[in-house]
Amino acid sequence: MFHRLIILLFFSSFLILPAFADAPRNEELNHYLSELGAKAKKEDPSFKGFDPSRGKEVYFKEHLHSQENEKRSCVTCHTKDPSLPSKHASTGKRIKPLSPIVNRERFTDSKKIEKWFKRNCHWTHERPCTTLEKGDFIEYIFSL
Amino acid sequence: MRKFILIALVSVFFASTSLLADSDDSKPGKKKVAIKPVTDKIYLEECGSCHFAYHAELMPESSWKALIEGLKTHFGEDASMEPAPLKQVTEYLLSNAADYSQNSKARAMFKSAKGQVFARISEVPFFLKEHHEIGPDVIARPKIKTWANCEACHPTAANGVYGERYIVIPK
Ligand code: HEC
Ligand code: HEC
Ligand code: HEC
Repeated sequence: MFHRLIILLFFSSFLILPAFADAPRNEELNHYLSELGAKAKKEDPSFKGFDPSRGKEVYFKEHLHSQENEKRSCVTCHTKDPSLPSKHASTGKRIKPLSPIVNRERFTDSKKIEKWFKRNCHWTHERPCTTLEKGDFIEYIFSL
Repeated sequence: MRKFILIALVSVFFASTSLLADSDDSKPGKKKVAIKPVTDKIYLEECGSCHFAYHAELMPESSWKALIEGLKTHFGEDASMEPAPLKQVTEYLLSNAADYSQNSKARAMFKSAKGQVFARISEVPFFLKEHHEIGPDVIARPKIKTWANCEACHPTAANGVYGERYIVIPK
């Protein structure tokens, strides 16, 4: 009896685990990512797909700002752990976690994603983020 | 002489009641107009994600106009937006500016600006007067950081409530 219970639990965990491991991606995000992928392939024919470990580097990469003389990265406003709430570096305003596992509103609206990539890459790195950086970044956030 | 004292007393009485009424918006009797909480979803989203969504009532129309024109270089940020939300945000700010408010603090903000254009609410003379007791050392506290962080000290600000008794200054 006890064994059967263990076996049952063992198999049922397969049903539950995937639900925890992966945040859902809506159709809009899938469409946005496939467009990014097509663009990345065009820019570099050897492109094989977006990579969460490169995305992690995007998240932590520091840039010394030319005018403010301070080191900036995505961490400056989103903290080291994207599943935690954070504070805007210059205004102190609370920012909800970036991770879609804890914040289901994240990465559901491609216009919003583009708007913030434009602003935040400029603020952090003084340049737009590349297609590859955007896709990798999203894969990193979804891998957490 | 008696008459003079009487007039003085009466005027002191009236001056003090109006002062009291001013510092306590919930006092019954005299009609008080509160600062309207922001309900415009587009404004809350577009102008409330980097900082508190400021009440249009707290700055004159001419200052909001200048701010909107400069959104591309907004305090070191690119706050520019798509034409549709921009139109909505502009409409909210201009039609609810201090110029048209009946709230006493908003009126005072408007009057003190004397037609001058300001980049910040926190630079308008009446704002400076209301906050003159707070020094830069207080603003520099990690939980405050900047005057722009109204909600740090006015936790009820989103409801348009800035009154003294609701203020908590973080340590
Ligand atoms: C100066 C502060 C700041 C920095 C630095 C910053 N962000 Fe953000 N980020 C924000 C704010 C504010 C929001 C929007 C507020 C919200 O939705 O909670 C946001 C939202 C986002 C979103 C939108 C996600 C969604 O779907 O809701 C993305 C993507 C993003 N940031 C990426 C980045 C990347 C990549 C970096 C580093 C290159 C970065 N951010 C650095 C402040 C910052
Ligand atoms: C991308 C981020 C961002 C967006 C979007 C944004 N702002 Fe700002 N805003 C800032 C920063 C940063 C400051 C300066 C904070 C500081 O250092 O004091 C600021 C300051 C202000 C101030 C001055 C506050 C004071 O001290 O009185 C006003 C007013 C203001 N913003 C209004 C707006 C309005 C209206 C919108 C929408 C049209 C908007 N902001 C959108 C980042 C942003
Ligand atoms: C460091 C804390 C702090 C910050 C930040 C702050 N305030 Fe204040 N505020 C105060 C204090 C203290 C008073 C004065 C209370 C008194 O003496 O009546 C005050 C008074 C006011 C009043 C008058 C309230 C009344 O009814 O008497 C208004 C309106 C106001 N603040 C708006 C703002 C706005 C808007 C911002 C952001 C742009 C802001 N404050 C930021 C602390 C702060």
